[in-house]
Amino acid sequence: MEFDDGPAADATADAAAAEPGKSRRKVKSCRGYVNEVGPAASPSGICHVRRAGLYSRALDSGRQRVAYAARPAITRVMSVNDQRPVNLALGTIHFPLPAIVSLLHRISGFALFGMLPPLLWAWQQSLASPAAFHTLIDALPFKLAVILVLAGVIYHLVAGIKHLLMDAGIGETLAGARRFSWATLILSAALIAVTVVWIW
Amino acid sequence: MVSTVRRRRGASDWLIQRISAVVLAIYTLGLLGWFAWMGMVDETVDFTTWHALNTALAMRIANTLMLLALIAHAWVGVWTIITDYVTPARLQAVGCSQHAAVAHVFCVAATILWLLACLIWGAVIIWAGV
Repeated sequence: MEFDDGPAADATADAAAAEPGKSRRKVKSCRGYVNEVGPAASPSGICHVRRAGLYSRALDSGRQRVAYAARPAITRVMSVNDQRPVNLALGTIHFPLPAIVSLLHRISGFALFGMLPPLLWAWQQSLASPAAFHTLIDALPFKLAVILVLAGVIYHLVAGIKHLLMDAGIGETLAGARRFSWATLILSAALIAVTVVWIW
Repeated sequence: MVSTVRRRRGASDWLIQRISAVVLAIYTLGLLGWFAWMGMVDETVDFTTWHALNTALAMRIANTLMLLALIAHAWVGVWTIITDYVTPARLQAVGCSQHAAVAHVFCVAATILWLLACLIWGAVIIWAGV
């Protein structure tokens, strides 16, 4: 690979080659989860960015690093406004299972964010008075709404635990990520089924 | 160009997201555990028991911690989504050529205000409830 980033970048590239699991996380991070170095980056990555002092090159994929290297050093401050060559043409990308699980994690999280006002309203009504409590509980869409929210919470929780485990370095291989993804889908589906039976 | 990315915020965002996630997970399991326990001891969850739970001091503190964690967690998550999908470049592509950066910052600012409103609303429910 052709990096023109000096010895620090080479050290990072070596570290990535030595630890394939770690390099996956860096590539994922370049999608914009973390634009700066978090504890998720390898120790070598943190040192590298401290030395570089400009942007988190350690979190970039090789392709983008080449793009950066081709630009004047003064413009190499990473921000969301960069015209980076990022392929997010979602219609053309093949989604492997871990990507689908990750995307659902995001969608469920955003859906729960959207449910905040209705949930706060329901919480307020449930505590306002016995009459308001019963009006709320007996409302036709209440059970359905509770099931939908709980389904979102359960999926987001299970996928979040998977995320934390992978943060801790557990199951960071390709095979491990696939197994974890299946486990997330199966476990959350089972828990949602139990919840539906319980609520209904 | 205006950016909502400040330098060196990534590490704290990363940590906030995970600490709040753990708080929310414990709270969720605790609350579900309460419902399950109520079912096991054959006690009906009605207004009296639900109200008593929510007005107990320990639960009010737990609810406040949950609410703070929820708002912080939602903030990091939605900020990530906005910076991924509502980028100035993307906004430029759909025609907001002159005000793309402004539109991006507007989305972030609206999210902050929205979450702060939810935080205040939640705090009122927790502490000002009868």
